[in-house]
Amino acid sequence: MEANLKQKTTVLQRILGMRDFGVLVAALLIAAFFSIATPVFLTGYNLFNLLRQTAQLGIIAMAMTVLIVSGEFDLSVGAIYAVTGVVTGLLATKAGLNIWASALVGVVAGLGLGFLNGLLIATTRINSFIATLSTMMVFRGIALVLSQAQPFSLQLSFFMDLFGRAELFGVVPVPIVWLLGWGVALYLVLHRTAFGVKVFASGDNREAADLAGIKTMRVKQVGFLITALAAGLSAIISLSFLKTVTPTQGTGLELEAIAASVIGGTAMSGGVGSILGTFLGTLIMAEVRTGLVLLGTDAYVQDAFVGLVIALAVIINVRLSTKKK
Amino acid sequence: MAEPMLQLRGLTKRFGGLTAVDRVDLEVYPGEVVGLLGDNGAGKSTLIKMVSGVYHPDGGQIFFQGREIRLGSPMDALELGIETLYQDLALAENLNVYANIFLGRERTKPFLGLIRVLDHANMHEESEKVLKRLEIEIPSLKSQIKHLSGGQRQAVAIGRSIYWNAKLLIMDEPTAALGVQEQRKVLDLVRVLASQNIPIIVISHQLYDIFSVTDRLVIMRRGRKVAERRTKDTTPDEVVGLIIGSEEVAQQPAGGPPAD
Repeated sequence: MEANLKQKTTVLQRILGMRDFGVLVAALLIAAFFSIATPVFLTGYNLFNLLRQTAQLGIIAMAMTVLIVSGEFDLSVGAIYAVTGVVTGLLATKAGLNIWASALVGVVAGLGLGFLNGLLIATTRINSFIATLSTMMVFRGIALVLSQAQPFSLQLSFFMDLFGRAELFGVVPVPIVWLLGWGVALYLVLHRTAFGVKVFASGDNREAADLAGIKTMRVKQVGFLITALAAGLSAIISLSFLKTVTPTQGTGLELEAIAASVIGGTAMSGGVGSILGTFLGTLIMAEVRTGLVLLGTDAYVQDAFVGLVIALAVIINVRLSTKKK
Repeated sequence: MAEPMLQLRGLTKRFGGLTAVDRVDLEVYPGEVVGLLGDNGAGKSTLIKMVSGVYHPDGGQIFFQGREIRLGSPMDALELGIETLYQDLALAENLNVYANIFLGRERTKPFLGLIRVLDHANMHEESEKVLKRLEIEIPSLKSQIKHLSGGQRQAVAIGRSIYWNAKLLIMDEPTAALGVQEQRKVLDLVRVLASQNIPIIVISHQLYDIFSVTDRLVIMRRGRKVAERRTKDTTPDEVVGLIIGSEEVAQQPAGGPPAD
């Protein structure tokens, strides 16, 4: 009898990895609710708009998932996002550099900051939550000093089209293409490669991973590079779409990314999480926000609602994982 | 006698002012099960960790298959065929059985000619083979470690070391976390492995286990090797005396527990 039950759960798990399946159902239910509540929700225009707005957060949240699975956090992503934007904007406007070269330098600068995060954690062994809390403030300071706290306006160009403004086949906003492309890449890295297994093992049982010959510190350092790269890509998409850069952009983005990851089933303790789950988690957050806007809800109430969704998701996750045992 | 598989000469490890392992000599021969005994803090685990590449010795030499070796990391030891099973069962709880067996040495195959992806089918199949060879039964190799019993976990850990063609197996408290029946199974497994000519070092507090499974005993106290006995020539009483350092008992093997 008991064996039978066990067999059933494994079959169900196989459908979509069980947890991802639950998140998918939640995403669909919320979509169904808003579709009934407001006729505007289920329109092509709204759905594409929703996804486009999700792109920046989704790209960072999926990278954050890789890092959280490895057992670390990066609270400085929002600040790295700002530094990448400011460096790019500064070079393209004040230095008169070509936008391509400016963006490249901006992204590399962001990667440099990610490398510093990894180095800091490897050499001092400080908890990454605290370490990146401090680098978040330092990096934000860098963005403010470099820009003299002023925003930049950028010229329209092919570059802007490619990263932010164009529409594939005339309908799909190009940020969605970047979101999906980045998602597939991270999916392959985390769920299909040997490196991905090392990420899971590092967050699951670090000592065991070390004893199995995995260089867990190296794995985590790569994780910090991935979040920094995501912040860079996201910043490029943002400045391309908005044509502007502000040094305060991305404030709070790190917490939204962690929230999306948690809604998607990532365990804060490490060793559990999925890219698809986080993608759906990001979607749920966007659904709730846009849905509330369409319903004409007060803007100040939205954050409170997203907060409730996070709490609910965590409760369900904990219930699911204890039930399985 | 055959050449020793492992030979330690004057192996020493200090932590600050404390000498955890003090000039220990030890030989292990092919197909032999050696019990390493001692009270808490006697230096057994430290000694073992030098052989498995976790600690670097401060003095002395390690010879493996007749050649002196220097181990920079656990991976160096694994590559030579020195496999260690730790008492807290070094497995990743959320990964499945075959992912743990291949942990750190995952099998991959090319994908679209661009990247290498995990070869699940191969790892599953190979894991099945090795567990079968050890007569270990686990319902599904796709189940996560956290859903397995202590004995099944130990079996997975042993399966892992065997798959990688262990030339020397070190087991730190292999039965500590197990129920009685599972303890029996693990001890049987130790004999199966020894009969396949793999030498094994077993650390244990359970005298019964040690006596039922080993050929030779090495006793440590405060970092030093204090005695070495053939298992069939000694008694639990004598061994207890040696562990806690009561000379009288050591001289009178048949005596009762020491009045320490």
